[in-house]
Amino acid sequence: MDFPKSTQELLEKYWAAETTPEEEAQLRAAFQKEDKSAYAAYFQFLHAESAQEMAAPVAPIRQTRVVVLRRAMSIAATVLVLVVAGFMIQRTMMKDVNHISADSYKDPMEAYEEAKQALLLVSEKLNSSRELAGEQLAKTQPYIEIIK
Amino acid sequence: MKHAIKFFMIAAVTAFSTLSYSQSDAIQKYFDKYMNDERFDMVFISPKMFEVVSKIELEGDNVDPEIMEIIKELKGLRVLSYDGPEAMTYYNEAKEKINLNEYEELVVARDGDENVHIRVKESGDIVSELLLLVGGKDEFALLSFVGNVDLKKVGKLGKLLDIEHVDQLEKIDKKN
Repeated sequence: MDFPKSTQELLEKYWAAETTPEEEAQLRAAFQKEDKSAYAAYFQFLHAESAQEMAAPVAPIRQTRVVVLRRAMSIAATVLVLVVAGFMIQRTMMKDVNHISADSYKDPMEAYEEAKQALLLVSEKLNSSRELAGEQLAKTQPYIEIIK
Repeated sequence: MKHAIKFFMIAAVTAFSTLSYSQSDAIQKYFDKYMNDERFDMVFISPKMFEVVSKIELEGDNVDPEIMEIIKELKGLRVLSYDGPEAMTYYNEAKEKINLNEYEELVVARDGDENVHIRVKESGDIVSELLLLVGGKDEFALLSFVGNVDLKKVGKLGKLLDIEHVDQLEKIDKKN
């Protein structure tokens, strides 16, 4: 079939899938005229389809649905991660609580005595270290006097 | 991309909290290690027991008001002690295993062959944990008080200790 040279070149590019959207629009426009060729029928069909797509906004609805679905999935995944993490931490903590919950004493007076002994030990170590520091300071005092 | 960032943030927070928890419980792990070892003496007083103890009525000579005042603010006590020739080994091991850098140094002293470490963990102006580590030739002790530890009041207990020693000496004198 004879076409203008420019149309022929565009057609070759089109079948090689190298045309730009603008060039495809040119092709559709070229075959809009009275033409009984198969090419014309093909491009007229494409033109009619693209016009229909523009009229009926089906694609945006589908896109919105996909976005909503993705958000729901991400929320579900976040909740799942938090639940699993919480469960693991709680399990670890419960294990330790169970582990150490066995009090050494059932009698509060015995527990009091033990706590008292522990407090006295800490107090003794605090005070003895203070005394030790005082002694060390006293030992260094003569040298400090010499330096002065 | 946003979701990936969210996911990694949650994962990071979870990992961080798990890591913090495991670090803070290094002492417990050390206690656990020797829990079934009969050479060690172990004491655990729970927050619940401290609550019960704090309700003991201050009547008679069995309860000291100074001690009770401190105990009322405490939430837990753990003691691990050992008397024997390997005391220094356990002392060094405890120093290595427990992350002492988490605590603020209060006392580091060496008296003869005995090493003493007193370290504290502070939340604002309040001492929330006191750790005592003692290591000598024949004695090892690891002690941890949790709660609101009033160091001034604990320090003053030394006087009480002196009074008790005097009382004991008097009792011995009377017996003789």
